[in-house]
Amino acid sequence: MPELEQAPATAADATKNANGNYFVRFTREQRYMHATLFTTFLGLAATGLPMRFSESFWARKFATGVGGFGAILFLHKLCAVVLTIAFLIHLKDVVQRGIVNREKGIFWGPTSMIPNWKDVKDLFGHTRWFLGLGPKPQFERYAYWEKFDYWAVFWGMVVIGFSGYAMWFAPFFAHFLPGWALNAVLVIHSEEALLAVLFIFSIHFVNTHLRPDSFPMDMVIFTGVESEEEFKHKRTKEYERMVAQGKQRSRLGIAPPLWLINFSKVVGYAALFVGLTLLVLTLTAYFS
Amino acid sequence: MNLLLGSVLTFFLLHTILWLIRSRYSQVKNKGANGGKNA
Repeated sequence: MPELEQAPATAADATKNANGNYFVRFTREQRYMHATLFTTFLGLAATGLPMRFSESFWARKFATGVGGFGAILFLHKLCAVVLTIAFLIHLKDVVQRGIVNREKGIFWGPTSMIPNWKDVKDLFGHTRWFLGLGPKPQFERYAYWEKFDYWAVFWGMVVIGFSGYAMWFAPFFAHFLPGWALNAVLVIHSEEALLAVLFIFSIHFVNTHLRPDSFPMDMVIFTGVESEEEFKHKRTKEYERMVAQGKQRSRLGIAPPLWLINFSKVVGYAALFVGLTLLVLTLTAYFS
Repeated sequence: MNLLLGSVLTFFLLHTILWLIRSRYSQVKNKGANGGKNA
């Protein structure tokens, strides 16, 4: 739900792009939000999984390495607080733009994150394409699997976050929650977090980065811009809408500098490596 | 809880595997025509 028409580039900047036009997909604020999200998520997973599978050899090794399970819990809570702040900033931004400023496209329409009928049609159309039974659907700004990613995180933030704080501040929550609920939050927190970890480190990684037309990494979440060819290919419907409305100029960006591409690669590959390592360790512990 | 975990992961795992296979198939099929960016 970006303010893409406030893109920093001018047409003159765009003409400097040696490899054709680049278009803004994510604003700087959105990229910072994603960076905070994945950094803290990796931190939460790296500290939460050893507590969930505390009997496994790697969890004990890790605990010994960082100063014990008390230190792990401290780091887990630290990441949780940072992520909570980021989540509240995002909520404030959505309310500000969607309700206070009455900005169009936040809660409904082709640029919204709210699922709509086209997403249902796209899911079935995509499945038909997988099976060779129909053409590939043309996607809008956010495809159905991207919306699922967004809402899975949103749901996870509320459920895992609330259950986590209920455990952290159990004496306070005991004033208005029955005893069984405080036991239940442990199960909810643990199982929902496990689902989140398995989903992000397998499905999200493959759907977003490791599938053939993005492999080995979709850089747009780091650089904020994508080439015209990529834009046209991946989000045909949005591209056509932009052209029909004559908004190409306002969406133009500048080619990402080499340092940003290299920095993004280092950060992105490190995140992929940590995530996939945690996935293997989780599966090992889960099935043993 | 296990049902939720299992069904979400199974659905998306299947979705992802089918997507990978179809993308790869399209990529190979269109490789000569446009450099393999059509998956």
